[in-house]
Amino acid sequence: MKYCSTCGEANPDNARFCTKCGYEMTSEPAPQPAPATTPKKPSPPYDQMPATYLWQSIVVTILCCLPLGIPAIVYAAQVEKYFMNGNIDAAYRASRNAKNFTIASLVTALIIYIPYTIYLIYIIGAATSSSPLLPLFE
Amino acid sequence: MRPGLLTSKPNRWKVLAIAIGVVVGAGLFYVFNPAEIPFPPCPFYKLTGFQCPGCGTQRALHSLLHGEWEEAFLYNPILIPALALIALLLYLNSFDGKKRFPTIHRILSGSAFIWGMLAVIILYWIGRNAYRFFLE
Repeated sequence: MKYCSTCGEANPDNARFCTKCGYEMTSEPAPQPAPATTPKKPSPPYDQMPATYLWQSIVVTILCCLPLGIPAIVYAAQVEKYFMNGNIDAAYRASRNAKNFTIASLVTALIIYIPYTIYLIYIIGAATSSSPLLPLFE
Repeated sequence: MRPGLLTSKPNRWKVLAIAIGVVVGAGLFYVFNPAEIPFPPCPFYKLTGFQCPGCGTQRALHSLLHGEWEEAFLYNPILIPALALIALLLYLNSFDGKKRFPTIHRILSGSAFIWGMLAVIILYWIGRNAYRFFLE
């Protein structure tokens, strides 16, 4: 099987003239027929979907008292939708944003709570052992 | 290859860190009663005067660890279902749950479920503040 260099028609190997357009067959390789349409990018298998970080975002929303977990849940909700539509990069971006918001709210909580807790422990300790530094906190 | 939802393996150190966090947290909230000792207050409540979806969780945890289900429910009614969901998601994500129950894992990772859950949390957020202002 060889292809006409003029019109691309398939011809028998021994043909001298193209059966479709009549031009003389040359020994040049046939031009690659251009793909009609770009095929839709298929979704990769489901087990490659990025993580949603859902339990982490529920923890920071309900278990530590900061509503910063809400945007984390919003991003978690977008992961599957993007992935199923074949928008893999957007799915990974949503996954990363969900992760970052859970970390951000956890860090914010620690920045607020750790100094408070240390202060509290000091107050309780000072009250029970009558520390000489106690008047500083009154 | 970027690690995917099911291809990423549970990290032993991560599981250990979660376990230590749960035990230490439970111990703290078992021993101390946040209703008596001034535990760190909710910054959102301090700033706005409105309760957030997590307000009352510390007192509710203390009650729950002492087996007082009713008190836990009154402090924060969403805590018990939230803890159940967190435990289920932890099992599905960090242990072998996603291999044994792929359908449940898939539903709980889906956009429909998460949007629904967010709607429940936001309605609860509005509802508990409305309840305090109009009915109490």
